[in-house]
Amino acid sequence: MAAKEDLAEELAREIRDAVAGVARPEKAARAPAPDTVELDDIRIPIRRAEGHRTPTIPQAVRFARAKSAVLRMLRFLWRDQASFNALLLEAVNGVVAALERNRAAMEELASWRKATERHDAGQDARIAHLEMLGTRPPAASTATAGPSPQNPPLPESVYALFEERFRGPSTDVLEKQRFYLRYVRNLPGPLFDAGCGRGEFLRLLRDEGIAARGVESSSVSARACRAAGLDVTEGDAIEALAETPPASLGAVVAFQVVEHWPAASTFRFLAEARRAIAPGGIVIVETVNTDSLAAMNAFYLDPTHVRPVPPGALRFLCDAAGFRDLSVEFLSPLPAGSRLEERSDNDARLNAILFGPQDYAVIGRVPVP
Amino acid sequence: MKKPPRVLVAAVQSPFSGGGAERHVRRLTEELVARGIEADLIQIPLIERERFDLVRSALVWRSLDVTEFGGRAVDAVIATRFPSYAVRHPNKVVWVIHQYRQAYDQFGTPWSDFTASTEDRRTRETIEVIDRLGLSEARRVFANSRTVAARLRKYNGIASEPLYHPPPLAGRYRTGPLGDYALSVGRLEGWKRPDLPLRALAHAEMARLVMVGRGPEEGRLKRLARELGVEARVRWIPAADDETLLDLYAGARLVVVAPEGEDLGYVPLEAFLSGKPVLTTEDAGGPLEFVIDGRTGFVVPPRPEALGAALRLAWERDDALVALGRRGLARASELSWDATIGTLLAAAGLEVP
Repeated sequence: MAAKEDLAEELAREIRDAVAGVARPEKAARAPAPDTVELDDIRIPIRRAEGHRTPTIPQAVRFARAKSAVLRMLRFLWRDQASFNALLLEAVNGVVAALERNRAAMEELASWRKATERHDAGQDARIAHLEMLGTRPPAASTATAGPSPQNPPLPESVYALFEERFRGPSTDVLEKQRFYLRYVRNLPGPLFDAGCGRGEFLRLLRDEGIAARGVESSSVSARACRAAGLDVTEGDAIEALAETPPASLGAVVAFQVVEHWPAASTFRFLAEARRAIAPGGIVIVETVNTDSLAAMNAFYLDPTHVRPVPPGALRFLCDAAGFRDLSVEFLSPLPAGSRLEERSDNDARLNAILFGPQDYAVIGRVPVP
Repeated sequence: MKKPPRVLVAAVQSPFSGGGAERHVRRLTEELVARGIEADLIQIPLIERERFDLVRSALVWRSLDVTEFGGRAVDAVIATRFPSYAVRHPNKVVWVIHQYRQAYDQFGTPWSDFTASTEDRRTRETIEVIDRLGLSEARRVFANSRTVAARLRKYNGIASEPLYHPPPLAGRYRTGPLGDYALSVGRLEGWKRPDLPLRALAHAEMARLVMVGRGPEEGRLKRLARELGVEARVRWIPAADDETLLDLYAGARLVVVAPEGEDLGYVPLEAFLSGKPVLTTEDAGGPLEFVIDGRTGFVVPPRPEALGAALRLAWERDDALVALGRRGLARASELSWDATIGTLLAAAGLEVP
């Protein structure tokens, strides 16, 4: 068996050598590097375009003025000209795309370099925490700030550690947020991620080529985002949104944010979002599913959670802020093993109350006038 | 007892000429039904008399409400060819079999009759919009090959996954001893380049060729064979029924496929399932997703001398051909309707009952 496989590979090699013998030398010398495949986008249309080239009137031939006018007209009628133009256009587009890819690759390299210099969010949090413990007593920071929704009741570095422990790895969040991609294609403007955390969603959007920026109140997370090359500013999401020009955004999203705010802040956030989003754009607000007791059980585990927001209330606030086509999506179902086995309708009803999906999102649209 | 899920397959009909694409969607529907799905096929012709007809056909699809029939909801729609994916359904999965290639990669080549006129330009733009709209609202987009997926990404910026399926006569292909002819199967038309295997014969004196298929180039190709002095070594079979075709594959020495930028092409898979290696070209497109040089066949530059050299060398090496054929058979046997249907249904959030 092994011997036969060698025979096949050997024959293929002989054929390649033989082909190289009969082929034009520069073709044969060309190694099948992956890059050359990309350049085919350019080479193929140019080669085809050569086939369409309109014959020129040779300089040497001296025609009477009338004759050359007739030839010019014939040339004008030459049907292939349109094809030739189109192919050249395509080739030029290919060149532009290749340059674009080059630039993207360079940027990616740069961001990788940054990423290797300073690694994952957990490490950052731990470092920041150690730095803080080393420089000043933790009591000082809490005393000056005082607990409020915008200034969480824990030192920032402690909260970062907390998030690292309880929120689950970045990759899980990423998988979950993939669900929202369907809503954010073909937006009428860039996306604004309020409270972007460690930037999981922004990263997903970058991979999909969707323009987006984020605002994050934790300086540790914001710094980690920027180190990963994301467009993230540190600050208060509502204030940042308020400073955004009207109808300049394609979407505003807030994942696991409104439960950190009192209702008045949430409404102000929605009203500012409504003003900042262009017609046709959307808002997505995700929070803990209050209809599921299992999800509510962990609600105050996070000391910065202010109050649960039930789906009906959030939907009402979105409506009041002027969003339309509202829908509510329930997400993150508990694994089958954590739910009751459904042998009857009663089991199903109990499951819905006790072990329903952990999160929900209200999705609304700014109507096109 | 739960009712089986209801799934509609949306496809384009070509009345009086029913080609491979139509057989394919019928098969897809049958395979769904065979797995206990309540599936049915809806087809609307794509009219191409005038430019605007293309848009009109897309609008017909767009205006259909297929969310329920007879008071029962349709659980999912699987749309296939342009413009069937313009249909509206909240749970739509698209398996792109064809975009309207004349408006994309074929534009500017002899295979497209679109010109730079305003009307043609607008139509191309509209087709792009239809594709973007119809595909971006789908729950998931699959392409029938990597080549089609790459085109969707390049021209429409839409991400899709290749989803393969077995060739039409799956389950009936048989292997046979190495024969004394190379086999070429396919319509005799320009971009399939049936002239390449013919011209290759002139560079491989011992090789014989069987050409299965008919098409607009038939007369020209026969003239070419005479001019090259190879006509005695070529057998023409304009139309082969299933059994004849299976025999031809089983008895071939190897199979030659030399199209330019083909989407998928069943020929390499059919060859593999018959235990035969495939000789193809570097610019063949779809066939390269299965034909790996030195693993399951040979990949050479698209020139007669190169194909000729490959035929000449392959003609003497039975052991190597058998080894290649065996690996091809293993590769093609990985494709199954079970897997394909499973993937499509999972994308629609459904399960095989």
